[in-house]
Amino acid sequence: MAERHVNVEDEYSWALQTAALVRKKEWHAIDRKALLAELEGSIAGGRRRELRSYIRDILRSRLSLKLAPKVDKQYNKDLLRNALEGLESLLWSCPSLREVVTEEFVDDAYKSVKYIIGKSIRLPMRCPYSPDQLLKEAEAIDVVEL
Amino acid sequence: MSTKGFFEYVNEMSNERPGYRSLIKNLLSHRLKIKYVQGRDVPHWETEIKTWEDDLVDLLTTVKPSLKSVQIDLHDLYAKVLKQKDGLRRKYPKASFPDTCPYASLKEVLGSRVWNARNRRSGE
Repeated sequence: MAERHVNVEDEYSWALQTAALVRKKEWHAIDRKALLAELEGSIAGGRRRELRSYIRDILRSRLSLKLAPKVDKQYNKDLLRNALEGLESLLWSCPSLREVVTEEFVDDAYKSVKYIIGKSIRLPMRCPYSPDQLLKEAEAIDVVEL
Repeated sequence: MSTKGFFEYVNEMSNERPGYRSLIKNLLSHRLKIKYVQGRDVPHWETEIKTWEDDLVDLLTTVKPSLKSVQIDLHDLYAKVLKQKDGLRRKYPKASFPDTCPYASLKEVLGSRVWNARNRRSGE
């Protein structure tokens, strides 16, 4: 059997223990590296990943509906609706994430759209939607024509 | 049943371990359906696989290291995917799923895109 990794932890237990240390102001006992990783990687990073997946799904479903309207129409409509609702709620709870939605960020999500759709639909070379368009659509909640 | 070689680790993953495992489970389940169930849903399953691969790549490239790790036992995961209440055996009784996991390593389940992202991360 392969050697078990020694650092497997229970993050629930770790979080409660760390919270208790913060309450008691026992700063020296806190694992700062792990705490930073949780704050940046899991909390902030998790929101950013959520944001990226919504943007990706909006682009994917929007372009599929536009360029291949007869293929998986209901699936794509549901995907678009869920992604828009998710994005709207996410931006409502974390407004600072709007600043993350740059052209570079959208381009990166668009690369994933190209990977997922593959050759089944002929996609434009560059993403046809700007960050502003995507954010406005999420705010509008109703699915609008872009 | 020997489990030699079936434990795989992704070092220093943090709080995302449940999500990571869940995505791998999804990938395994869909790859098995494509291989043993087949039929008209295959293109849809392939698309879902690509979406989960993309989620995993994003996870692997953005989560900063912590002191934790992920331990995936493919045999255990395979048994769950197949035998749990809403497992593949019940859903697809006509499909001939093997008794042991047909994939020899996590690499085959993750696919090359995710595997490369994992290796890049491990090399950091």
